[in-house]
Amino acid sequence: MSISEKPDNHNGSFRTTRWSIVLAAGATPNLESTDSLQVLCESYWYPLYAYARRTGHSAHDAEDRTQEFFANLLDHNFLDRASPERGRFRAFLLTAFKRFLATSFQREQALKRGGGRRVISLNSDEAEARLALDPASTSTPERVFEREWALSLLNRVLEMLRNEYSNRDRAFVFEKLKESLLGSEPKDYEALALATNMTAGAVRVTVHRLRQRYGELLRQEIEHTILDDDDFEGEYSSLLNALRSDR
Amino acid sequence: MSKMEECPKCGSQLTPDAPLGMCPVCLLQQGVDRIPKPGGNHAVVDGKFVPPTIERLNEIFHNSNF
Repeated sequence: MSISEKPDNHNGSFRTTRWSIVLAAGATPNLESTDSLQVLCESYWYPLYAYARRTGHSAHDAEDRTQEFFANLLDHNFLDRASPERGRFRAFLLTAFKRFLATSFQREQALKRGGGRRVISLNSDEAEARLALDPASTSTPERVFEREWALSLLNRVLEMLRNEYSNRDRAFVFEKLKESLLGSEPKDYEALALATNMTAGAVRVTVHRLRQRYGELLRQEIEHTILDDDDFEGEYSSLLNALRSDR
Repeated sequence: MSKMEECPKCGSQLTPDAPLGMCPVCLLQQGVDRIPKPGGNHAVVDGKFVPPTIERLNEIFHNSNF
């Protein structure tokens, strides 16, 4: 059975993730695998940039190296290599990037091939501002990568959720109720009702739906970076450890 | 809503890069707790209706004393 034909545990149909589509295509990409890889790269470039910076590259160099790496990756280089870390996009990306940085020949080749191509919308000013906020400056580059990956994932899910509310002209509802995503029960439903122009009962239902939708989006996003549902628990534990490690 | 400095859920100190100013550990834990279990719909497992827990009912219908 190929990767993309694995039965879906949820409803008996066949289920694919972005990463499984990319790996199934291997070195012979198609439109779907290229689109999937592009989305993954756009979503998770920052952890690699942070890794490059923490390994001593200047901001300019880190930006160049990250772009070069993604140019190669989007040409589907590296994807035909069988290796154990391929089950998770996160682990694959870090291992491939380390090899890329360490191998000067490969880097030179990439420069020739990529020719300074800009394949990812990478805002280095924004990245530097974000890097300055990172409290774990004494962590190893690997731990910085893992932590930034987990934060990127959460930020992406929250952004998707906020966009869903914005698209229905309910961004203010999201802003008022977002803290309920932490799991604490809101202290004052009446005040929230007043602030959101809803009844207290409607606020309760909205909080419930907000949490449910957040859970769905979070699961989807984690699943898109692994091969199948079987590895969900392992990836979840890794994300949690990465966030707890600097406490 | 003002930016939190301490997580109201777990009490840990929040870092400046906390997502939307919220504790990332609690966000991840609570989000995964909310994730629908295999089978998709909580209310139907193996074709049989599964009633929601008292905790979940109280959560949805706050102060209703189920």
